[in-house]
Amino acid sequence: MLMEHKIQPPSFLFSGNHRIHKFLATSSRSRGFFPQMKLLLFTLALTVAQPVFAQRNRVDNAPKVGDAIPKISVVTLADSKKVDLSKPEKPTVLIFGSHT
Amino acid sequence: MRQAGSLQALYEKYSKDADFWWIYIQEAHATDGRRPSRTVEIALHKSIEDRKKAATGCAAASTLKVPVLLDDMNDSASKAYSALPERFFILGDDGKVAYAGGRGPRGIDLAALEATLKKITTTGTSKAPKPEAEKK
Repeated sequence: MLMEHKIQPPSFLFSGNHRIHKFLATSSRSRGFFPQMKLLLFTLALTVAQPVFAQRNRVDNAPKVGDAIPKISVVTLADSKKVDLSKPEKPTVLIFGSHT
Repeated sequence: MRQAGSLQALYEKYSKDADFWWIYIQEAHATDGRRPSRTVEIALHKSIEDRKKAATGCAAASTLKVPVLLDDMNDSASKAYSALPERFFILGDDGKVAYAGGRGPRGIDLAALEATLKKITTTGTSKAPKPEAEKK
């Protein structure tokens, strides 16, 4: 028959009269130590992952391979002449970007 | 632009067979934006002159010597291609998009860009290569 072992938090966490010590001691007695750690790690993971998900969830209306070329309005930097990119005479590489 | 050196190498290699355009769009990390750049101080463009000034300075400082185009002040090119902060495409001479890169900086894949460019320029067709699933 398997014995049920209650896992206690490391003793160094309970040195001194500190609020964390009391909180951990109380909560570990009632619910165990590891649920607290899981909650802490989950919160940390959410904090780290938030910017990544924010970028992923941004709406992406970009044309896909095989789609018709979108009509856009652009001018040359050199002499402000309009350039029509919707009907290229040869393959055209577009590099979108800015200084920052 | 972080990939300026690699893009310049592609430009030098394929410029005979393909056109290259650098479309200067709104600043991704303007000083008065949500996440300002720590290295370059440029405010959000309030007029086409602001954009022209920023593009001129950037082009002069960059190793990338591709002809520069300016997006309009409605950011129509940037919106049409969901290009902010940086993104690369290849347009085919058949009027269709031949390569659509991911949004930068994470989605950028220069190897895939070059592979498509190489295929198009060597085979002489801009028709988009079929995905593996469709070939079978």
